[in-house]
Amino acid sequence: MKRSPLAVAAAVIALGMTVSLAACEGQIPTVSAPTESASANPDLTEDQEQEMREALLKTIEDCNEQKNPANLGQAMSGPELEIRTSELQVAQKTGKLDPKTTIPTDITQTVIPTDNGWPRSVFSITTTTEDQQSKRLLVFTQGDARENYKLWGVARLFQGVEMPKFTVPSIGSQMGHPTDENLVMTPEQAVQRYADVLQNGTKSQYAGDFADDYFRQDLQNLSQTVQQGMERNKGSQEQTFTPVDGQMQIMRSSEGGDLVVAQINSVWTRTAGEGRESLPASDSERALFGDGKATSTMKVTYVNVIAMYIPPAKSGAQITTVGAERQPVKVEAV
Amino acid sequence: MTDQEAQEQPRKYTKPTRRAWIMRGIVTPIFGLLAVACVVFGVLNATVWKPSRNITATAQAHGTQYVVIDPGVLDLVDTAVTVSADNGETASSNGAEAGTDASEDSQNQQTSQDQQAQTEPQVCMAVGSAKDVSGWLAGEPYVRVTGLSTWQALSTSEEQAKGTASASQNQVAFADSDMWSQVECGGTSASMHLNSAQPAQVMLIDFGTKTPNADLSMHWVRQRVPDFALPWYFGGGLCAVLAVLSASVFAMEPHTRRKKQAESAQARPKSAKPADEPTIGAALAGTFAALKPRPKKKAAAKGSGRHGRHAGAAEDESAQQGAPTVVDPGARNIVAEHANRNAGDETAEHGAEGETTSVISADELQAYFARLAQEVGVEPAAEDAAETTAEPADAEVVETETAVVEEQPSADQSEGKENE
Repeated sequence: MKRSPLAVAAAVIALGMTVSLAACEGQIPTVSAPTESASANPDLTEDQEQEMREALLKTIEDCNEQKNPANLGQAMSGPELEIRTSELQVAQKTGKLDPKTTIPTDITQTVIPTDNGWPRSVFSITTTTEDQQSKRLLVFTQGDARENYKLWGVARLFQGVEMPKFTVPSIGSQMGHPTDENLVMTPEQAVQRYADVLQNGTKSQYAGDFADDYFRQDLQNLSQTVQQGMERNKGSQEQTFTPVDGQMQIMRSSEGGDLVVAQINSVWTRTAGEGRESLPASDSERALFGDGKATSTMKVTYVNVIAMYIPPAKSGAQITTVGAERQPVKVEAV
Repeated sequence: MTDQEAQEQPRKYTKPTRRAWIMRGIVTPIFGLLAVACVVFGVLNATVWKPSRNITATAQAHGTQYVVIDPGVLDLVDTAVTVSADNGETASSNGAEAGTDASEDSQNQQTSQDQQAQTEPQVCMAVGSAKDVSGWLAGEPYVRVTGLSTWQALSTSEEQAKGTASASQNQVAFADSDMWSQVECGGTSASMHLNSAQPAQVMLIDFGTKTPNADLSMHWVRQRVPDFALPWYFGGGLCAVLAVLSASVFAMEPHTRRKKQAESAQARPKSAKPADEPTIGAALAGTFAALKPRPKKKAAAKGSGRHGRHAGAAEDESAQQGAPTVVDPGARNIVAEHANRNAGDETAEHGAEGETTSVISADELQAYFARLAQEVGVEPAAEDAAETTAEPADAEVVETETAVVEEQPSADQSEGKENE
């Protein structure tokens, strides 16, 4: 009995030590506060971009093979959906797809923004095609968090054009804003004024703001040729260019300027004189017109996709158009 | 006891037996036991109590479709993590299905699985960035996994995502979104393994529909387990050393251990001790005096580092005696006085100098400086000896040194300067 207090104390100590020292897993780790850099991550990794792009191009390729635009909506949106639908309709008639519709699967560069909200866009520049056509600028957009990226626009870059530099995709670029004042003119203004230049040529008051480009030259040449023909028939022609609201994707370059890809619709109205019929002016128009009955006036709606680089305000440089795409989407006799 | 006494008796001490007895009989066993206990605990911590490499933490979510694992949680314990989610077997949603599941009848199960594939939404989990996940969740309630509350339980909280739910016509299925870097789906449960989870990664789990009882578990295999054994081994080693020391060195009588010191202390009469007190202070002053001219011979000053250590104390001392000032050989009267006093003390050959007038010739001054140089040469040695204070021979030196400097308090300030 004398020993019992000692024994009890020893037991308590032994038990206490066992409990306190046994089976310790160490301190529970705590979550450190998220760093700011987490939100500045690029929206996609390069692998994700490749996966997304290849899946879309696969869908588009399937549509190309079937010459059926029905499923194009799964992979395309915006101007490119209209353009490719028209191209496939033309292909249905002519039996073969225009070589300009080729989109190489390999890219030379991708520009991925770090922007948090939606819609988001990704710019990718492909390699040249197998038949040595120029590189394509692909614009993918994601309209909503619960939507997927779709091919919004394709512009064929002009041969030998100098593209602005962008931050590497692992760091991520920034999307621009249509009313950005830090450029020689806001992207919105630039697109409007370029439409004016396309419509009025050198007579446009903005002609000096834009460097000369292939697209403008080709359009001018075509217009002149048609004009000469029309004049012989005492006919007339008129082409109006209208930017499409909201159809504009902007990406900030590392030099501070913005690469803007925008949709400009144009309507080409040709009226033949002396009671003649006005006929389609190209194979595409002819295919789209099909067996329609020609009248004296033909109205052709074109979708144009223009890629232009707007330099920063302090540079004072001209705006350069770096690429374009043009496709008739509707031919009607009025 | 008798053995110890027998050992102790030749030393003519009575007390040491008790000290040795306490040290060897009580302290040593205590340290020994502690050492053994430490080693035992160390071994236990290294074996049966070893922290588990496998950490599995679980959580339950009630009435939610979405579970979000916060950034930083996936890699909380280790970068390799396996996350499993189970929607609770959908027992409440369809009784018939639950029955077939329970019966495990192969044919019935086949049909029930077909039914499930058609009716039941899949459980999917995806890894993405926080902004993509919050974009997907916009306007939806969800359960958030914020970390570990214990090693076995995940801490959760119920949240409502900001924003408005998507009204898009082109919505894609959860598993088909481009935003996820990795997606896994399953019928009623899904599991995903990440080899290198990043802190910025967020996991979103979609149960397809609101599940009343969703189970979530995260499993990590720790690569680095805290080592609790090593501190015990270290403590054990320390106790063992202490046990050995207390059985040997600490068991000895202090004067046995420090024999020489004790002897020298005994050899000196008690009355001499008060004289020792100023001796140290005076020795320091002497050190200071010896230090003063050193800047001219830097090598010598650097050779003995501990001089610097005493410099402060010496300054204090000299401050009491008056500010230590620069030696001014031009102060001829003072030199003469010093010489005079020395003549009286030492009765050396300098006696003649003491008798001279206050005006000193150049030769005399030179002689003085030669002597001064000699003194300066001797002083460091004397000071070193004063520091050790071990050998009786050195003690004498200390005394002589003391004798020289002890005059200072009685002498006037100018003489203090001269010693330098």
